[in-house]
Amino acid sequence: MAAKKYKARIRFGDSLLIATAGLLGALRDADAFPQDRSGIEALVASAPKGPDGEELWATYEEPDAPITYLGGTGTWVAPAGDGRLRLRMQPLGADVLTSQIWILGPDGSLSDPETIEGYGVPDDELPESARAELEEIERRRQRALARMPEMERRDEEWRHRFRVEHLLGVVAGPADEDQSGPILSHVVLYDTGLIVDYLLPRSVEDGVDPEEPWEFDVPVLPIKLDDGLGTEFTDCWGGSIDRNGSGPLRCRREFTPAVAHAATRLLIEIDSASVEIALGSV
Amino acid sequence: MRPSPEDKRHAAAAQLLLNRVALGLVAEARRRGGFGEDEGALRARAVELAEKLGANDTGADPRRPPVGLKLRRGGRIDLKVPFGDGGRACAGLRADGFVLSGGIERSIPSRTWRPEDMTEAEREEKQRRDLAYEASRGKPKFRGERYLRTVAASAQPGAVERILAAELYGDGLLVEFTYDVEEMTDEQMMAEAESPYERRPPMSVTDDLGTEYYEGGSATYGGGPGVSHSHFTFAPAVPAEATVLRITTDSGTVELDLRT
Repeated sequence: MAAKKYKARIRFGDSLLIATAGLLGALRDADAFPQDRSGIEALVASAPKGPDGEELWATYEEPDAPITYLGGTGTWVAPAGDGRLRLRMQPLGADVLTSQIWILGPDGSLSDPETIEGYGVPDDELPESARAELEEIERRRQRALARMPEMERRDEEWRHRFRVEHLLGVVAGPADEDQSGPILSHVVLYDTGLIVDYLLPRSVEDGVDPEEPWEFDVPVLPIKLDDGLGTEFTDCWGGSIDRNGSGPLRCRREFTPAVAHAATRLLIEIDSASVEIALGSV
Repeated sequence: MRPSPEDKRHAAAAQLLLNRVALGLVAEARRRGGFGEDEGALRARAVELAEKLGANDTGADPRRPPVGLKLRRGGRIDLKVPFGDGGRACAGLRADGFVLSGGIERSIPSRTWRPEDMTEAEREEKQRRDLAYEASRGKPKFRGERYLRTVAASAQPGAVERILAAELYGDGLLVEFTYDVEEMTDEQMMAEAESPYERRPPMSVTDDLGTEYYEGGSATYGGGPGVSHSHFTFAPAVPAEATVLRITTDSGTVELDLRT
């Protein structure tokens, strides 16, 4: 099986700093920000990318265009004259439509914010485009509300899937596994799914900064399960990676549905390692 | 504890100051081709920028520098702007303007706990931790070196805490177990957040040779709501001659047959 590996990394950052520093960095040695659409779009596209190819998300808007809250990524960029840019951002967590406006200079200067509530005009003066957008936002809100019961049901199912009432038993991996690659420690069987606990040699950790050991790339290895009865297992994307200590990384992955009741063995392929365990005693 | 409106205002001012200092440094770095290698000079420049921009609204101790800077490997910097009583706005960024990390950190005010301030459960947990510390003091911690094998536990119907397996290593063992975790009320969450000792499910390990196991250091427990996938570690290593491992929790004792 091909060893397709994925990188797991979580980044946090202030969205204003991400946008402004990214645009400033994209300016490189130019003295002024471009003031036309194609120049600004090219600037956004050329913004520095992250270690995993993360891109800057920002959308061009005309400086005199009516405010919109749809069709963008939360950050809109417009020319502001004198080689500067105007950034309009929707504050995170705001429960009403609000825009904050910032002016970014090529010297790194950043204005105080200007706040615009909604579309910047009284309700009875809203342009037709804003009314249509508000209707669309309400339709989306209603659709999201309609999806809530199903999402809550799935959340409940996810939280209860591996409770002890569903536990059937545990099967240990063989004692003589090759330790140069992934090692199956044990499989926990439930009547709702199964959990595969495996170990990875520490050598798979590449590029760990000793000053920031919590930030590292972990290969999330492909796992294939075969109970011999055709059960199609789905990765729940639940689990954990424990990198405490100096031994192997301890990994846990969750799958559904349960192994077929009549199954007598389970073949587990973790990347290139293949292990078969007997299920007879469980 | 939820931040007060004043704390939020200070945090926002610190975040804005940090952003402006960061932009100033990036603007200069793009002219010079990087942040350079002189951390002291870069820190002084950051402070100069912060003072010029005005750090009055952060509520931070005015005797402290308005910004902290560390030069990291690979030509990137970490910036911290203090605010209020122990808070910090933070960001890590490269000279080309890519932001690697950032956020708001808040310190939990320190408090001295006296036994008479604790609940009965907290006193018991403190005593348990003190004993565990004494038992392991001066002894090597479990590091998970040289994995040997895993021994699965048999079924424990009706048990609240279920032992799943013990992973045996050259320097100790790791016990995997699981238990249900119910959703906490806001009051329970607040009480747990303010408690000096989160209750750790009691567990001890013995074998048929009388080996004295002590807590190995790393442990995972709690979490949820729903279920907790937990593990405790113990040292020293299980002797090769041992035939039975006994793991005792509040749910009883589980025997693992080491001859399998």
